[in-house]
Amino acid sequence: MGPKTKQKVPGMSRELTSLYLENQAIPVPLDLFQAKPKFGSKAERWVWRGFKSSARGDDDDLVLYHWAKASEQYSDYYYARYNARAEPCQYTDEEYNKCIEPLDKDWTRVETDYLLHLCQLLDLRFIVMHDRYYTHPDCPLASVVPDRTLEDIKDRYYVICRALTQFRSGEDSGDPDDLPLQATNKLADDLALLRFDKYKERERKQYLESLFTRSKDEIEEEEILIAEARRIEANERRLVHEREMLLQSHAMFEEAPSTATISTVNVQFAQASEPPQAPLAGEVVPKVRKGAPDAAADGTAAGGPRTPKKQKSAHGISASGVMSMPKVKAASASYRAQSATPAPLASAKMLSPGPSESSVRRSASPMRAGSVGMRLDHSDEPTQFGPVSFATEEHLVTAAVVQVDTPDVGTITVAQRDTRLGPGVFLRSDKLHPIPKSKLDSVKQFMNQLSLNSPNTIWPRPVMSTAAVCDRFDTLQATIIPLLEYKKTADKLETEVQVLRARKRMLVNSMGEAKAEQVLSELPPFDPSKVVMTRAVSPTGSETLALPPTPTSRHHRKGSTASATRKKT
Amino acid sequence: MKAGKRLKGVVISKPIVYGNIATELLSKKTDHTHKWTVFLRGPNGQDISYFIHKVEFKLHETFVNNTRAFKTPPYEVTETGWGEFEIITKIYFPPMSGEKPISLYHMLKLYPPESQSQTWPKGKPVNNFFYDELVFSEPTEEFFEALTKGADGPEIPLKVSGTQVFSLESEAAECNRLETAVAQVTGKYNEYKDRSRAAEIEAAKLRRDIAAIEAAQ
Repeated sequence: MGPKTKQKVPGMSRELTSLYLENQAIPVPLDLFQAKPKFGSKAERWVWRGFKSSARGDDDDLVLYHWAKASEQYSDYYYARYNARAEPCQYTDEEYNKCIEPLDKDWTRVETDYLLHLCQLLDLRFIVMHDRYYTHPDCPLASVVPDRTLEDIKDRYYVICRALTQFRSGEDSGDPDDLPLQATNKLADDLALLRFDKYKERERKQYLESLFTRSKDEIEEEEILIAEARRIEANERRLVHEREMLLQSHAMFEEAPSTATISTVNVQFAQASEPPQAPLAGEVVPKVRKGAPDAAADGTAAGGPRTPKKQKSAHGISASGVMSMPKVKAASASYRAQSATPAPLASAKMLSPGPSESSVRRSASPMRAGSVGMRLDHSDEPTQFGPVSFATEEHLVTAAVVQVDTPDVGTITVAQRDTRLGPGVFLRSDKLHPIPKSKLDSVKQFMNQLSLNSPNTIWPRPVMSTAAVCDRFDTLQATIIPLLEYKKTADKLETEVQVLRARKRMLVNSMGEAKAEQVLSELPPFDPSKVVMTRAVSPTGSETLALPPTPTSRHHRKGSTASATRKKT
Repeated sequence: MKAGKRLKGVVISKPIVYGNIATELLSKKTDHTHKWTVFLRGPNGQDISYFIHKVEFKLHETFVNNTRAFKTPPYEVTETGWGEFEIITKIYFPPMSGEKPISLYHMLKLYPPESQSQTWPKGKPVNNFFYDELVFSEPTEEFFEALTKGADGPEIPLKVSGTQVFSLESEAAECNRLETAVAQVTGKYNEYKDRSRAAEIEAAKLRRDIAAIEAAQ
């Protein structure tokens, strides 16, 4: 150990000490010396040997030399096994006459044989064959050298192969139409392999050529177009969605048939005309669906001697809207039934017509002796399907109903909002249209103002969520949202108008009243119809603020903030 | 047991009422201030067990055995306590229906609502009822039979009476209210729309005037 190792710091190991203190010699193992490796066996003997390869052909005499182990004994050149050869088809004279001869009059027997010979010789390497066509020493004598393109040669070859395959498979089993399935499949596979379309090939090569010789400008142009197309595709979904939302919000109030929402178009606002104290003389509207047009006669239930309360105009709308619903046969007849004349008060007899189908929605008993002295009897209960008979249940109000053709039960009346459910159980109140979270509070407030919410709930829901109620609830919700939007818009626009007015006043004052009058009178008359709604309101609430780019707009913005601050103070 | 074939396009709904009733305990011997009952039943008091296999009420964890299960009606839990918490009512359907159990959530309400808390007479029970409908979409054949055969009597009473708080009448009344509301809202919507339009027009006109004046200055 050297003198430095005497400095022992307690707690530190020897290595650490040596590292800590500098100028220490660091022992590093160096393998500078390598001993000569020891081999167990003696060295092999290698011999300079000549060899032949079968891949060169059987009658080839070329002898090549290489170093080989003395102990090696190869029957053939080691790599001759990798010599892959393509085997072109062969035909007999008979086959030629039968199936190949009739194919193409342009090719002589001699030329065809020559082609096949080349194929055999050159391993079906068509490009080489084409290059040596009729310049190969084996070529037949011909006064006129036929002018064949590469595609011609290929085409001829494949045509021959197809014909032969077809012919041979037909020969084997006699009748070509009688082949077993496996054989036909195999035949189809084989033929598929031999497909070659001369004209397509030529086109393809032309395309490649043009692609190769594009100029730089063209390449750039193409790239720009591709980027455009991709951008459009990416935005497509969003655009389509936006378009749909706009259509929805307008459709609801312009009474056009909308395809999206369940409850908007088809809500039937039939009324129970009587207040609760009086016996229920209101229209007890059965959910009896009548396919025939003369539903007015049947299906109407009790009314008062007085005319039923006014049918809302919405009713007319909904009928027409309903008509335009594709696929689903809407319960238009039942709507028409309500507009019919009222039935007598005394016995609220429900006439269930013979051929009508009753609703499956609830199963109530046929006789409901209500405590109000109302007789609801179903005189002829239709039992049209199966052993189970469904009685109708009367509600005082209806939801929108549709006819649904079920394969098992027949045609039944189902609430329209229920037609898009999947299998399973749901709570009806869960199936109300969801409101986006941002609007939840404002909608809830609004509903509370109208006192329509069920108390003690987090999200707005009706007090009694039946199908009819839920329909109307949905409509209401769907109406409130655009209303709130428009309210916001109106407020914004009106404040803007205030600001503009103030500005105008200011300008007029600075200019002088008379001069301002003069300037204004020189202007052409204002055309209100030309004003485009720059703020489109969609139910999603995205307002497109497109302020006209006037020089005053900057001032407006300043002015508006100024006025805002003034209001705050 | 594998459920049978589902009937496509068939929808059946069954009404139910659930919630709780709470009365103040007047004795005050314990720190439990209220006695309450949470229940699940049909709106007209009728039998609902033919499509319900089991009902589980999950109470707050401070209650012993806070999952109370019932296979037979009445589906009710009566307890005493002092706090309001969320109760989860899980309804299991018979195995032949192949339906998954469905959960209903509601708050146990013990105290009368804010607006009436001063005038609430002592001992008057606080009712907190919810009406809902179980909508069975594409039920299996067996279940369908059971659902249609099992009902006896009207499922929703015509009028409100006693504990039956939900009736066809109340439904009609609510529909009326909603309809008037919709009419109101529609009216307001149009009003605001017109106002927007008018404001828009005026704004455009003003802008034009201002531009003209500024140009002339």
